[in-house]
Amino acid sequence: MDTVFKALSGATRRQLLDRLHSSNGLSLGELCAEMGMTRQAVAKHLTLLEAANLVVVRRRGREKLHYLNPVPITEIADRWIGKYERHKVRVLADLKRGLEERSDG
Amino acid sequence: MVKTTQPDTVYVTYIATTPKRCWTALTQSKLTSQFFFGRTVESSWQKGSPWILRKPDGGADVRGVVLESDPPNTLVLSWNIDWLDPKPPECLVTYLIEPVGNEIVRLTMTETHPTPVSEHLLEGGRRGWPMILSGLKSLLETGQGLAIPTPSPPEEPTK
Repeated sequence: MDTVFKALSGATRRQLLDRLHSSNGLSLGELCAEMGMTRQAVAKHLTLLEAANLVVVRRRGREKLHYLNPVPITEIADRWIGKYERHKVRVLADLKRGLEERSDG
Repeated sequence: MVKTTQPDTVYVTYIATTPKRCWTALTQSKLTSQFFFGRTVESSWQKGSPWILRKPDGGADVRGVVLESDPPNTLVLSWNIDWLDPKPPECLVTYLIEPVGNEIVRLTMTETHPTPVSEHLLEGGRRGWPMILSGLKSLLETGQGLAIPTPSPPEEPTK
């Protein structure tokens, strides 16, 4: 659980997760292209995310594809939020998002 | 043959259990009903046999065929949601259960859509699967339904 919090504490790593959330299964090259960072820097962040099980790697030939794995975050939520409460929290999160999206437009 | 298309979703959870118990949890209604949104399963779990996921009211939710079965490590299912209108194209769900230590397994669930599906449908999976897998983990680790024997129905009054 510590590794999850540590991995999530970096803005760049959260950005990498956002990127994978909008487009899953990207290669290192594809992730670098948008981050404006060196391959080494991105690879280092990905290693931390992988160690926290927030990113899962699958091989396609020589390439490694990166997938967002939100299960550890759900496991943390399960620790402090009961099954039924979670539904209520989700409704509130949806409401917040809906209102914020509306005010954006 | 299972298509080698890249999966759209790959979820992994580490569970303090044995591959056999993890397999049992995924394939027996007594256990699926405790973490799979109250759903039950029906199948012989042999390659080529049909399988059904039923809603708590007994209605069929998902139907498909067991495409690969290698207990307690690999299960590949075709996945059809017939009651949705329009009916989404068939997808594949795989469970890979790998031992990674003393009574620890790495469970990998992948969802593969050979035919592209709507973002809305993918979103449904993205919401549901992490809850299912996290629920499976806590069920197996807290031992409910496994370490504790299923209570038997109350006995008939003797009088």
